[in-house]
Amino acid sequence: MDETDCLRRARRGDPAAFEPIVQEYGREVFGLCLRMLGERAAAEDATQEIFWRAYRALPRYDVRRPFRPWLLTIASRYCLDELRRRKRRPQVPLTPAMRDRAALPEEALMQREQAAELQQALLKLRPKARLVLILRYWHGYSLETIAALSGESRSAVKSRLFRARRALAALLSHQREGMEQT
Amino acid sequence: MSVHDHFAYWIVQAEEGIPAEVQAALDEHLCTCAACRQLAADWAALAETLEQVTLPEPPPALAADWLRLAAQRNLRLQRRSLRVFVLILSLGSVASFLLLFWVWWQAPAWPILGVARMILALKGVLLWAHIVGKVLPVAGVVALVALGTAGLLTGLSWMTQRQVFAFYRR
Repeated sequence: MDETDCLRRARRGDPAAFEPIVQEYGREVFGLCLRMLGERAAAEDATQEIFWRAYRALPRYDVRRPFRPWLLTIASRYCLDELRRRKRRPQVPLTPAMRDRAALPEEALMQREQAAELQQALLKLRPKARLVLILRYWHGYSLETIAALSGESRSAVKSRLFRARRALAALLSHQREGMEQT
Repeated sequence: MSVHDHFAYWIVQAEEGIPAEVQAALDEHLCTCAACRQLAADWAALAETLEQVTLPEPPPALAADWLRLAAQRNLRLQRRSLRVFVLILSLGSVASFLLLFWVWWQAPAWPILGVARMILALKGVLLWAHIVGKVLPVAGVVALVALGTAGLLTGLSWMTQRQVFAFYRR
């Protein structure tokens, strides 16, 4: 059963038909959420919520259009909204003990110096700048696609990407300098 | 835009291609400008990191968990629509009872006029059921059955009352 068949069946209200879609796009959505939100548990919840929203929104989805950008639009909007909500209602950060309990093999990978450093620097960027970088580098989208996905003009995305790259390069460099000094 | 900003733009945009003449000017500028050299080094380090750090793997049971959660959420939604349906049905039944009772109460002794009024009231009730049926397809059918029962009970009660009145009249 190909993707279109799965989507058609899921659209008629069969959640089991949507399971292969979750399997297929799980990594991308989860990756986006983890990079945007910075915590594994929050990213897992967000991934479940995003797939549920996509499933419920399927009747409005045009099956002739590519599914991946449509799904990532939902994911991007959800992450931006979630970060806005967090700003209004600050959350209790996980204590080291809780972090350890939440640790999974992937978290161990995340502990790898580079990934952790990069994640730390990414979280210091503004959410929209973070999103543009993630979509560009981990999802490989062109400026045009990112513009369509975020509802902004190509030039706005281009200048946001430029500022984000510059800021991230500076942040990473400062972090490394700080670590070298300590 | 300062000269540094101009070159900073090209340093960071390098991966998207730099025109040859700009590249030459950039190389020349980098020889003399420490700030831009630093930016170029920072950017090169970042570009390397971005290339090496891949997307994290999701939890292995993501799809199975999704299916389980979807079943729970579907059940919750069904329960919610059932509650709405029961509420609409109850309100509709009470309203139709009241309407039919009022028609019966107002009906003159001459039965044909009472029946005519009853038909008019039922028409209104059917229209209501039709509208409800458009919103909730199953509710429309059940609402009709409930209204039919309400109408029948009211009719029976009417007939019984009439006989009681007839008894008193005698």
